[in-house]
This record gives sequence, structure tokens and C-alpha cells, in this order.
Amino acid sequence: MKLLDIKDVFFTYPDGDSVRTILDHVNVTFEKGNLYAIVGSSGSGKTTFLTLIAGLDTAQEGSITFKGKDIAEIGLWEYRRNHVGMVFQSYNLIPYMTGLENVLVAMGISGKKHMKDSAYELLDSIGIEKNKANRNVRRLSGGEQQRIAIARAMANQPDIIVADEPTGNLDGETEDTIIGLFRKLASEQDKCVIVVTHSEKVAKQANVILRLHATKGTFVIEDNR
Amino acid sequence: MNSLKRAWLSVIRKPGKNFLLFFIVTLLTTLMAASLAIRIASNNVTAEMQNRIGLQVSIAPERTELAYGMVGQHIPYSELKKVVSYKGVKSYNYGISYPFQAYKAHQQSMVLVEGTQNPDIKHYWPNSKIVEGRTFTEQELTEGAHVMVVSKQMADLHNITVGDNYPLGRRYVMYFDPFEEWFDMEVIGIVDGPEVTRSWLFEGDSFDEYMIYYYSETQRDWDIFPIAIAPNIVIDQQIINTKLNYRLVGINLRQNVDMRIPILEMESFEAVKEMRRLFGKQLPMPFKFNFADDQILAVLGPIGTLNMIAEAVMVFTMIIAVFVCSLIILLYLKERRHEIGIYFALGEKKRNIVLQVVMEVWIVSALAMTLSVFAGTWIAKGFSSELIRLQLLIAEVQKGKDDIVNDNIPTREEVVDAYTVKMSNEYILLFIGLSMLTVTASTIVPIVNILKLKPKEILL
Repeated sequence: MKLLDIKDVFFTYPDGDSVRTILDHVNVTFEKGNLYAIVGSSGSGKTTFLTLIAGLDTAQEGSITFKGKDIAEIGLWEYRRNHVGMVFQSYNLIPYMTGLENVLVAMGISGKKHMKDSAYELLDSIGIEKNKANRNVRRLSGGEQQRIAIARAMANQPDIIVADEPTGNLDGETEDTIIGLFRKLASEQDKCVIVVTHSEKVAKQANVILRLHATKGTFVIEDNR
Repeated sequence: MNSLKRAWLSVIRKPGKNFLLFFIVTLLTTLMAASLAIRIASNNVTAEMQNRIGLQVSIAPERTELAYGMVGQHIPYSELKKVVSYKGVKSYNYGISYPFQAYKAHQQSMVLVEGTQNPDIKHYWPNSKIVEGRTFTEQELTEGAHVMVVSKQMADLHNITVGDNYPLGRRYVMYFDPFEEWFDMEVIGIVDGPEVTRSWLFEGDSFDEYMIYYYSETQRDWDIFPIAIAPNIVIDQQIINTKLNYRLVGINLRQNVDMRIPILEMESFEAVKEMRRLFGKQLPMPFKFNFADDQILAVLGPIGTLNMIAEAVMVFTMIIAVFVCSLIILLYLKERRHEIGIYFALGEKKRNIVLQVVMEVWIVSALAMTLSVFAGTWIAKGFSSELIRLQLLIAEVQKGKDDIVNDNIPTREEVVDAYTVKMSNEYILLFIGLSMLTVTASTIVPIVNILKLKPKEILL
């Protein structure tokens, strides 16, 4: 089912006196139940593309529609609040809170009720037990922090989860666990998971790989489904 | 978890980082609290003194004229009546006292006759009552009827009854030829009021009828004769007659008139101003008005100065507090850019982020202010009372307290006693209001700054 439709998206950066084209009329469609990997060389525009589909920035041309409605019409703040979950390379957890509280913050922002039990359940489903959930996040390992970041991204029950280099700071074993979690979210919970990565190992586990061509600003799509 | 809970967690989980803000807010709000406490105490003492002095205007001769004894000491009743007829005069208290001789046969037998314009005897002798006869009628008072009310003690002493025509007058021996004048006063009432005792001068077995010392409840212990009350206008006329008669025989009589400074209670401060405008220059020489507002200023000048200094310190502190707290909050939020970015990325409403920041500042400030309200009061108590005492002392030395011709003018000690710094509801509420306003104002620039942040630039 077509969830997110990217049409003719054009994006440039000012680069000194000139303008650098990052995305040149890109057309991509994302569907539910799939794990997507966006790969490309450094500076190719992977993260820029991710910010556009996460509603953190707007394209200069083209449209991004979510379930048939332009995200600008939905409102980027509303879109982020209710339809997208984000995971970052450096976790970006609130450092003075516990894992549970980090999840509760996201739940509170999206207006969820009866949050505490749901938050524990959510954390448990990604392998964070209650005692760890109640610990300050700085006292958790990188892998545990990233799990909490994933739980936070899931807190608003979004259709789309975007992750920017989610395994960039993790060791190989933890990387497998996290990607496993993403696969599970896509296959079992019918989420559309979009991961930006440098790692071919990670990319190979995705259902669809989008290779961004640095100079052309367009995607080459490898569909492994 | 809503923004209020987040604010609370942020404060309690990062006490170290909030300490700088707490310390600065405590310091500055303590200064504000002290200034405010001084201001409120100053305003209270001013209001109290104004209430005490009231809306009063007194009429008295110029001090220089008094000092050289150039003139008679009381304003003629006819002149006073022009002034008190002004509608802004609520009431007035005036009495001319003059010692007249009581018996033609005995030169030293004197009766102090006090003038009144008020038919209520209690106006003169509180807690007294008429035991025989009656008090004055308005007509007798305004037309100057030769009637008087005497004390019971005087009536007993001189065997006076209501309806008697009692002679009063002057007898003066000049070159062995007595000069005298007499006028009859009808006794219309006897009042049981002031306590009459025998004079210490004549203490002994023989009961004298000359110098009698009396104490009334108002402790007017300067009156040393048997007392009678008569209409002001009569006494005034008799004094003038006496003076004229004495001048005829070459005596310039200018003593023994016991001046009662007329004190006029005015309806309002506007009426005081109007009186100044209408009558300020119309009094006969050498009399002048002493306006209560002038006197209040004279007494409360140092308080006003302190009040102004306190206000300046408070305003200055508030401005400094806004700048300094803004900087601290700005630095504090700069460290929390990531956290703000996360809220943005999660789609938190901007107003909730603003609310969280403001609440954090309020929580820290509330703790600081709790400390400040006590510290400020303590500082204000210790500092300003001594300062006021010193300033009042300096002012008295510079001005000379005798310039103020009004018995109601408070002394330095009375002003200092009335000046009390205390934690009133008004003080606490004003302090909280002003402090909250200041710290809230200090969040404006940092908040505008954080709302400009772009989550993409912070997080990715």
C-alpha cells in the first residue's frame, strides 16, 4: 500500500557563489511493511532526503504526500507529532531523564493517554526491562540507548520510522540486533521503516535499497522483495 | 509527560546547572525585596503621619513677630470667621483664653475664661457633664452674648448659681490710682468636669481662692485659675477693649493672652490647596497659615528621600536582573539545544516548549524568592531604620523643629517608631508580582532565540 509518495522533489544548497543540486526531481514511493535503506557516499544528500520525508525541512520543488495528502497541508509539526518516528545516530535522548521518561515525553507530546504501562510494554517489546527503563539513560550502553530511542520513535504509533545511521555508533553485534528490530517493526507491525546507512551489511537486510547518485541527485532503486 | 512535569524534572535533576540562576535571582531579588520593603514602610509611615496630622491648617503669627513680642498673639475672631466660613473647612478648634479678675475687691483673684465656638462642652472638657443650667446656644456663640458656663468647683468656691451675673474685669494700679473696668457675665450653666486642686504655691491650712491649679483629662496644666467658658467673640472683644483702655492710660498691654492656635480640619487636600489659593495672602499681618502638607513634607522629607532611593534601586535592580538573567538563561538554553531540538523533532508545540522554559525559570525563581523575601526584609529592617533615624536627625538640625507650629507634628522618635518594616500581605504580593514580572521578562530574549532553532541543524 502506497504510504509516502515523493514526486519531483528538487532540493539545492547554496555552495559559495554557486548552487549545489542535492535532489534533482526525485520520485520515490514508500509502502507499509517494508524496510528501506538509503545508501550513498558522504555528502550525497541521504540525510537531506531523510529530513524531507521526516518533515524537518521542505523541498524547493515537488511534493511529499502522506496517505494521499501533502505533508505541508497536514502541517509539518502535526505530521512529525503523529505520523513519523525518528531515530538518530547519536540517540538524542534527553540526558537527565530515564529511558521510561524519554518514551513518556514522546507519548505526552503526541497526546497519548494511560502512558506509563504502555511505555513499559513498548520498552519491554524491544528488550528493555523495567529496571533498565527506570535508569538514567546515561547509565545505559549505546545499544540500550538506541533501543530506547527506537521505543521513543514508536511511542506515537507512527506509520513511518526514519533512522539516520542508527547503527553508526554501535558494535557489529548490537548493529544486528537493532536492524533486526527494524525488520521486525516493518514485517510484524506493518511499519514503513526508512534507514539511512553507510553500511552495505545493513542495506542488504532491507527490502528495498535506494542508492543516491551523488552527482546526479537521483536514486537507483534495488528492490529485494 | 507534559511540559510542566518536564520543567520540574529539569530543575530537580540538574541542581548544579540551575544553581547559578538561583544564586543570581536570589541576590537581585533580595535587593528588590529590601527596596520594596523600604518603599512600603516609607509609604505607610507617610500615610500614618498624614492621618495623624490630618488635613489640618493652623493659623499663627510669624515666628519673628512672636520672638520680638511686637504684636498680640492671637488672630482676631472676626478675621478667623472669614476664613472658617469657607466651605472646605470641615471643623475648627479655636479658643482664646484670658485671665480676668473675679472680684473687684481682691486684685489677685483671677478666673481664666476660655473661649469656644462649640456648644458642646465636651469639646472643651471631655467626660464632663452639665450638672445645672445649660450650655450655649448657636446664637449666643455667633452673636457674642455675655454668658458663661463655669466649673462646679469654681461655682462652689465663689458661691455661684445659674442665673447669677458674675462680674469679670481688670484692675490695675497706676501711681496709686486704680484703673479698672468691669463687665457682667451671666452664668448659664455649671459643669462637673475638670478637677480643681489647691495650688502648690499656697498649700497649707487656709483654703485660698486665688491660685488654683487644675488638671483636666486633657492635661492642660498651664491653666492655673478657676475656669469658665464663654463665647470666643466675647473674650476677643473684651481683650480689645482692655487693650484700648490700657492704651488710654499709657499702658501697652501685650501679655497674658493665652493663644490657642486655630486648627482647621479641612474636607480634603483639594480644599487645603484651594484655601492656600483663596486666603493665603488675605490674613492680617503678622498671621500666616501653616499648611499640613507643608508640615508633612518638613517632617517626612528624609523618608521621601529614602523612598526615592529605594525606588531607584528597585528599578535599577529590575533592569539589571532582566539583563543578567537573560544572559544566564541564554547560556543555559544553549547547552540544551539538543533537548529543544528533540522536542521540535517530536513535534512538540512551540507554546509548550516556551511554557517549559518559563516554568523552569519560575520554579528556580520561586525558591530564590522565598529566600529573598526574608533576606530582603531583614536587610531593610537593619539598614533603613538607622538610616532614617540619622536622616531625620540631620534634617532637624538643619531646619530647626520650632519652625513647625503645630502640636500634632510628630517627633523624630515617633516617626522612627512608626517606620516599621514588616512582611505584610501587600509586601509579599507586590514582591512576588514584580519579581515574577522581572524573571519572566528575562526569558523573552532566550525564548525568541530558541524558537529560531532548526531541529535539522541541531540533530542531524
